[in-house]
Amino acid sequence: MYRAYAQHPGLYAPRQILSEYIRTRSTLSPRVREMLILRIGFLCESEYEWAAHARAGRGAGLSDDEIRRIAAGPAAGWSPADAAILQAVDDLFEQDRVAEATWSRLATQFDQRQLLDVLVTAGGYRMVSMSLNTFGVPLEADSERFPTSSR
Amino acid sequence: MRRVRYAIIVGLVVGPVAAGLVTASGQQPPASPAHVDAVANDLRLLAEHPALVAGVAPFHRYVSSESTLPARDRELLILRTAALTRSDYVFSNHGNAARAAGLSNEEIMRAGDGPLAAGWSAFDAALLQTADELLAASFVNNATWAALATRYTRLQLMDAVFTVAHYSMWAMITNTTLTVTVNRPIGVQQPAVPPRPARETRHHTALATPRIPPLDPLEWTPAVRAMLDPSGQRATGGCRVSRLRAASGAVRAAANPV
Repeated sequence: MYRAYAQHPGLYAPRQILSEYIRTRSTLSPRVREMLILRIGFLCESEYEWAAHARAGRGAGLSDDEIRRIAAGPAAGWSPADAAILQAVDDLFEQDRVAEATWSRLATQFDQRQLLDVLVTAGGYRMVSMSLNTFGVPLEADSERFPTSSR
Repeated sequence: MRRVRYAIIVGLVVGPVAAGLVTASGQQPPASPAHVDAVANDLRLLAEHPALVAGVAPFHRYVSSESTLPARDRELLILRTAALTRSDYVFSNHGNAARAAGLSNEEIMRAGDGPLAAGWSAFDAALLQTADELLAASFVNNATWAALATRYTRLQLMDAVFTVAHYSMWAMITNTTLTVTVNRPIGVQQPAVPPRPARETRHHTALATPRIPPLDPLEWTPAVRAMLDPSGQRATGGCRVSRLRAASGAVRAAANPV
C-alpha cells in the first residue's frame, strides 16, 4: 500500500501525518480503534485493510471470535458499549452521520476528544478503503481473507 | 457529559486566521483567499482537540488547495460529495471557493444535482460520477476511471479519489458534530439527492491488475525513502541514495499496518 501511495510524494507526506495520528496518537484505546477500522474496512469491502487490521486487532486484544463478530455487525452479541461503537460506523457508512441515539450511547463512554477521534478514525479508514479499492492495491502474500460466513 | 455539538453560521464565519496557515512543507499555500477562508473555518471547528488538528490539517490543506487538480475540478468533486453526503456545511462553505475557481452559480447548483443533469461535458460528468461511485461502493468503475484518464495524469487520478474520500470524512465529522445555520452565500438551496441504494447492490469486484502499481524502491524520492525505509535496507546496488536525508516534519517510519 505504501508503495502505491509512494507514486505521489506530494500527497504521501500529509496523508501519512493523518494516518500516524489515527494509529498512534488519538485518544482512543487500541481495541476501540481497531474495532472501528475493521468495521469500516469490512463495510467498504477492502480486504487489504481487513487483513492488516485483523492482525493489528489481535495485537490490541481482540479475539478471533470478536474479529469474526465485527464482520457480522453490531447485533452479533456485543456488550452495549461495543455495539454502539460498531453502530456508529454503520451509521457513518450508510448516512454519513452518527444517529442521535447512537451518539448518546457513545457519549456515555467517551469524552469529547474521543468522540471526535471516533469520527476521524472511521472516516479516515473509509478514505483508505476507497483508495485501496480504486487503486487496486494487491493483497500481501498469505493475507487473511474476509470471514466467509458473514457475506 | 457534554456532547460535542457546535452551532455555527456558515457564510458569516470568515477567517482572519488565514495569515497563520502553513502547509506540510512549511510554505504558505498558493491558494486563493476563498480557499484559505474555508480551510481556516474548518480547522477552527476542531480547536478543542489540538492534537487532532495537527494530525488532520496538513492533509486537509493539501486536498483543499495544494493538490494537482485544477481548482474547478476540485470544487466540482467537493460539491457533489457534499450533496451526496447531505452536508449543508461543506456545500455552503465551498460556494466562494467554487466561484473563485470559475464556476457559475448555476454550475454550482448543477454540480449538486450530479452527473446526469443536462449540460455537463463528458469529462465533468465523469468527475461527478467519481463521487457517486465512491460514496456508493467505495470504488470507481472502469468506465469512469478511463474517462478521467483521458485528461488526468496518474497523480491527478490519485488526487481525484482522495478529494472525494477526504471530503466524505469531513462531511461525516461535520454532519455529526455541527448544528448548522446556513446563511447561504449563493442564495440557493442544496439539491436533494435520492437515498443511497441498498447495500446488497453496492458491491465491487476487486481489481485483478493494479491501476496504481507499487512504486519500485529504486524510484522512491528521498522524502518517501526517509519515511518508508529510514535504514536504507531496501535500496540496492548503486541506488543507495542519501538515505539519511530526513523528511520534513515528525513523520516516523511506516512499519505499522496501513
